[in-house]
Amino acid sequence: MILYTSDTNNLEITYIITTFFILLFSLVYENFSHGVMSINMLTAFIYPIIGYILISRKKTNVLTINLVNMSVITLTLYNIMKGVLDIYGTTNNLINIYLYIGIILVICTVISLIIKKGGGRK
Amino acid sequence: MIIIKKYLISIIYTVFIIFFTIFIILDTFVIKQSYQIVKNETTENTSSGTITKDDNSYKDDNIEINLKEYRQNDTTIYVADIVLKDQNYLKTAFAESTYGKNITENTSDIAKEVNAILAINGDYYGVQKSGYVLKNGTIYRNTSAGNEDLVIYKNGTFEIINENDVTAEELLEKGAYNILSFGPALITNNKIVVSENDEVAKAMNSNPRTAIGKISDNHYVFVVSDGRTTSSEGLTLYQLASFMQTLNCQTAYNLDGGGSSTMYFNGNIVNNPTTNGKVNERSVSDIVYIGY
Repeated sequence: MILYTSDTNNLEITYIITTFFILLFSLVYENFSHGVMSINMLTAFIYPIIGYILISRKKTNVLTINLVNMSVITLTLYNIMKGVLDIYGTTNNLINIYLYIGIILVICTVISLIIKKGGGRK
Repeated sequence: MIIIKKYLISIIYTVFIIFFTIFIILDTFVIKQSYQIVKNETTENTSSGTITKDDNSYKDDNIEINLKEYRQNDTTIYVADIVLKDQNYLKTAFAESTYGKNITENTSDIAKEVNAILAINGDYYGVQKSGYVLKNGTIYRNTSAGNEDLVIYKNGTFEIINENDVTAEELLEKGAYNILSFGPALITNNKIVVSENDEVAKAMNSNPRTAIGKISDNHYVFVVSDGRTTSSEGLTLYQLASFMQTLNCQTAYNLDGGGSSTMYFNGNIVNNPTTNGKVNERSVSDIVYIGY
């Protein structure tokens, strides 16, 4: 199934709003962190931007869009949670689960994009 | 409706990962895990003379403490000058007498439980998964976090070590009685060992600070600075180290600061601890104290 403009437009708007929300959240959180800086927190908004670029491509199939969505939310949450823990000065090994799942989802997304591209050439 | 159907996998996954995130937050900050109940050690009070004490001093046959207030770098700094007859009066204690995770109490409450004369917050071991925890001669955690630690030996000697260079067991064998795992070291061999750009958890801003220093045999200082208030800006690590140097510390070490920074003396909180922008004491995992 291929998604066309109306569906992807809604999703694009969601991604733009999410990007600004994450950026605002990071800046406000950093502002109250008493000088403790977390690169993870400050760069969390990059994933929604990448997601926006990927889903903005024409003729993106449903599976790919779902994979992009899941990759973006996983990696964004990883960065935000890592930032929260760093700023508080603590650790929790469980947050690595975000990273592992996120990497698997990104690999699946890339495979999905390659298969689609390969299919397009035939 | 069609859109929801198309993105159903994403929606279900999002709900799942939000629950997972809530679990991590609870696991990190809320859920208590008790690993070991500890009997906080008490030493017999061998003082036979009279005890003299007021808001700024305490004196008996074994312990003499004088509290002074300084004003530097737009910050109020509280210094407890300690002279002990026996180094064993310098001790540590756990919140709720328990070694565990998310087990915390106010510094003043722990201090009262162990009848401390003077106390400051410790290294807040409970927020870390690793880093040596060796308190009053017992190892509770021996996993290295690569921290720069302050080792307090039975004979009162202070030594700065790196957890990657020596094991907790080796330190115990050498006579370590307490290890404080936070850092960094501020002064070793009378020299400042932090630079103006040194950071704790990437923070080099002015903040409330807690530090411990050794001036000479059985002569120590506990230092706590205010910060994050309109009347006190707080200190950078370098400013703290410079101040400790003016107190003639041979060795000085930075402990957990920020909202944790608290000094308790003769039943009262001395400084102005700040939590979430308000003057309020924050609960911690452990304290360093002077007492019997």
